[in-house]
Amino acid sequence: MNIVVLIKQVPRTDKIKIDKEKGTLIRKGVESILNPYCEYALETAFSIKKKVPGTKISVVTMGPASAEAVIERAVALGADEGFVLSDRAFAGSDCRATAYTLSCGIKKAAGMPEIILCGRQAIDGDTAQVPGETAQMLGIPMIPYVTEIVDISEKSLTVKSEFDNKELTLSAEFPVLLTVRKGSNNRRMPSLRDTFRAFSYKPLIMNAQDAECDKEKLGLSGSPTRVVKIVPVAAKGNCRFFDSGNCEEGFAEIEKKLKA
Amino acid sequence: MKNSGIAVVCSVETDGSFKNVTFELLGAARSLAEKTGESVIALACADENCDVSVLKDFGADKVFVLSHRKAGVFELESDVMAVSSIISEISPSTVLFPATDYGRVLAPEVAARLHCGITADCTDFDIDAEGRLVQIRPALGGNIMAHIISPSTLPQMATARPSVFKKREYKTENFEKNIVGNDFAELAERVLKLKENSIITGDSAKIEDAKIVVSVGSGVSSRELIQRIGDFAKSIGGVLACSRKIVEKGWLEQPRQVGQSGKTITPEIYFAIGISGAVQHLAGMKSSGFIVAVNIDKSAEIFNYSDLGFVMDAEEWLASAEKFFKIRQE
Repeated sequence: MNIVVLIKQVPRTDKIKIDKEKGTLIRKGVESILNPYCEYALETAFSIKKKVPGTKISVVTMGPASAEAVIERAVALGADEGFVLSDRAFAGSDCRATAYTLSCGIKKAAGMPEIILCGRQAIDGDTAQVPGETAQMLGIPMIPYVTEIVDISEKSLTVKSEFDNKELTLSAEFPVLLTVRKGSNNRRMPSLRDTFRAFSYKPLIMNAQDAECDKEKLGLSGSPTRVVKIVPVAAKGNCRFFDSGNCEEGFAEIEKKLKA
Repeated sequence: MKNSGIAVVCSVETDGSFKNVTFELLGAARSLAEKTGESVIALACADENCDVSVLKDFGADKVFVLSHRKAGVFELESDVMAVSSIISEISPSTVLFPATDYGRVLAPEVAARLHCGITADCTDFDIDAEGRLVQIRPALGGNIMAHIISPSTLPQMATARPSVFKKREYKTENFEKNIVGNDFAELAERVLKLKENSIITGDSAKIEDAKIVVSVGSGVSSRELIQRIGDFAKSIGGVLACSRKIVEKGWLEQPRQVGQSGKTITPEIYFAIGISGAVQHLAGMKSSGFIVAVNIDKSAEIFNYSDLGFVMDAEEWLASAEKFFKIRQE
């Protein structure tokens, strides 16, 4: 069985500071990590591999050459091979152009795999739109917000999915794309063997030509949405402070509000 | 033919009633329609007997009831087909989807099928000088609003956050109801089968409806403390929520998470206890009516968005609050 896991390198968004005058990110000193939700998708792939021996896990990412780091991380965790889609032509891609590029990369990397796994969203863009668009472009069904793989065979799987306060049990024949809602609370530790392998592993780099992309559908020119303006958001800035010495006064304010 | 009409994809509960977000989006659509002179069209995936007359009181000129759904069939795949097909047929200029879990999946699938752009999680809309829809969403974790347009593809599509737009009472005349039947459910069932379906209950599911929300973050250092804060929340008629860190620790479940990757809520009173105010968290709560923050660090970002700030350790604050509100003594 072939599984492709789509992964993304993201900045530590909880450490990002914003230049409020310029409306830009201050990236200096902010490290890049593997998007946590992508790690949940990888976990799910590994759990499937345990149940179906002989499964091959390929990871695919799109980004600058430095995105190799997340492939290394995925290999250290146990992925078999990794691809980085990297080309200047991809710059400025919105969700649609990204999904198109990834769908080309998936086909090139693994033909049509039985299962494609994604995290439910990336913590930098937070749109959660790329998986659905990718599934449609590949013409395969998608099951979103998967919480558990209940059963899996050579031809189909059954999963639990949780959304809008409902829990569903769904089954699909392959190929299918799943987005993973959450991981287990025990983070997987890389094995010594995989860590060594990742250390010397060289991901395969694919440019637009390698992935056989239609150039018109790529990057900024292939993106139907355009950011036309960025506006900083002002803070409230009129907080009344209390401490342990006068907290009763603050509680009295809360009480007033509760009774209002 | 020129595209015209602002379509709103309605969110229908299992009992056939409409979720609040439907009325909020109709309100947003009506405000846009007043600027462009278009009509407001509701698209509802629902039973053909569904009572849709309420939509005309909140700004809808007409409704298309897409009656393909079948009990026991997973609705998403067939809704993607039905919504795409009606959009191709009626060619609206704009389609708004609710940014619920469901809408955030439906919208990109429909957009991809129709080769359109799509903007996620909008919190405001406008019409620019050329009559195009300006889709405004928090970006880079919520400290910045990005204004986005789709200049070359139609319809313009976006999902819009629940609890952000205002429901508007607006009675329309000559309300038109159209029923569209088809067999998309059978098609969808060939690829995905629904085996079980249950509703998740408990107050964790309800933080978006609560008037008072008490939220805990990494400054709350133990499960016991969270439990006590939960008791405090209950005693003042509130519901317990949390930041992402608490979910990652496994101390509370994901449906309680407030923030960009959790829920956006606008309660009347929001307590942020031990929450420093990362931009992602702020994106989910800063429109709350009255914000009370508790943090040991006076320079914490959360205070910039708060009405009352307690510069105290969470446990110390809680002990004083319990005493003041006489929670433990009774």
